[in-house]
Amino acid sequence: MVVKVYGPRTAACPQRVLACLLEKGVDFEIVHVDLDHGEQKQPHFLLKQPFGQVPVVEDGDFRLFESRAIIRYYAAKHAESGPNLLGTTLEERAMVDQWLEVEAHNFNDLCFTLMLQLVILPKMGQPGDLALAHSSEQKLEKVLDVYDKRLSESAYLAGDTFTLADLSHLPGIDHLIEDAKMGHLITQRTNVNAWWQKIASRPAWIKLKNLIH
Amino acid sequence: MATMKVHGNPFSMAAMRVTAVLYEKDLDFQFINIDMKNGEHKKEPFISLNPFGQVPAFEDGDLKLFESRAITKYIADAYAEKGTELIIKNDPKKMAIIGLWLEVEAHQYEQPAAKLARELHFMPLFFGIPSNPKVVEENEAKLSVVLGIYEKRLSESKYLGGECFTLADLHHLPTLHFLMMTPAKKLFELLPRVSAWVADISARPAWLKVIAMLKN
Repeated sequence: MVVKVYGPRTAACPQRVLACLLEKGVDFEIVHVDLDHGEQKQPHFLLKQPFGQVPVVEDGDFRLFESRAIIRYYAAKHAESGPNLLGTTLEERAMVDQWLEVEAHNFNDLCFTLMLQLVILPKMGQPGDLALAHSSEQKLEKVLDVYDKRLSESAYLAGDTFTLADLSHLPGIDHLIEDAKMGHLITQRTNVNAWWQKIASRPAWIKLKNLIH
Repeated sequence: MATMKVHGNPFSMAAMRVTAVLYEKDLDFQFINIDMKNGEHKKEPFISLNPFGQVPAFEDGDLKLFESRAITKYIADAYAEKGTELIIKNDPKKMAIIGLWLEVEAHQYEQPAAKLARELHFMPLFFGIPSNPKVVEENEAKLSVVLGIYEKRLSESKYLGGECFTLADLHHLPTLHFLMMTPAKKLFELLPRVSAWVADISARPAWLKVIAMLKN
């Protein structure tokens, strides 16, 4: 039975899920949701996801939402196949959780604010708040300085191998570079840049980028 | 075995999340007070424990961790056999549902709830800064929507993650505690199942021990 992923393939949160499924070799079907016309707020969709957000995953009669809960489920379900995205020991798993939380609480909001003010609102014909974008950029610079130091000590965020903690950043950073033209945030930091080059050249991510275009 | 250490401030909602789990599991720990008023969390030696300069930080022997929700997960997993079971280890689908509501707390509930707690409780009481009505109105509206969804969820399930109290419920306790001391409590009082859930989880003996730390 093929896993159904509801959401546009261009949106960051569905991409987080798709990247994980591709890494694990799980077959999926993308069911498009028209965010531009508010399909996610329609009654039929709210039955699947009461907060009116993408993605939602349906796996037979098992339904799940919140992208970071979905990736944890599939990474654990298919722990034996493909790369180990969760860590093995208690300590390794704790480090993956720690850096997943860092992505969710220190990185994600700033990344989203930049995308909203610089890309999404202008696309909708509304002016972005440039002052807010600028202050978010400055805060993100400080966060990425911490990442740079971490990545000088460790090949990947949680340790020596690629895990969900790194994967969770792929869509956001890709959008920042491609759409918000904020690539300098990455390229100006030696260790962050080296890490980005590594994770963005993973076959699963390249497969996803081809699916998007 | 070295005693576990929590570096934080008793009034930090994130630190309270961690001490709640330690009390639920009846685990010994040492609470090391960080003087946030004087920026101790932004300097060494704390910065070596959390390079983002945020409380809490946690030590269990050689393991050093930060991010409260990573710490609580670690403790719940490492000490699964002790005290209250806060996660489900042998049923991936049930654990995924707990995981879902853990994310809901972190991404839907936390922002408006914590903003209201700061605006209505901490800023006036600790810093003498009056609440900004616009911020309050905006976040009460957001929190209302979230609580409406919780009301429906709690009609299907005794606790947010399933039939038992888990981390998914516990993570809400710190913000709930302060919100209930403010006018924002009306948002909860409107909803019978949410009210009952709040009363239930707030009365847990382990949580009462966390609150007792505030009095010292």
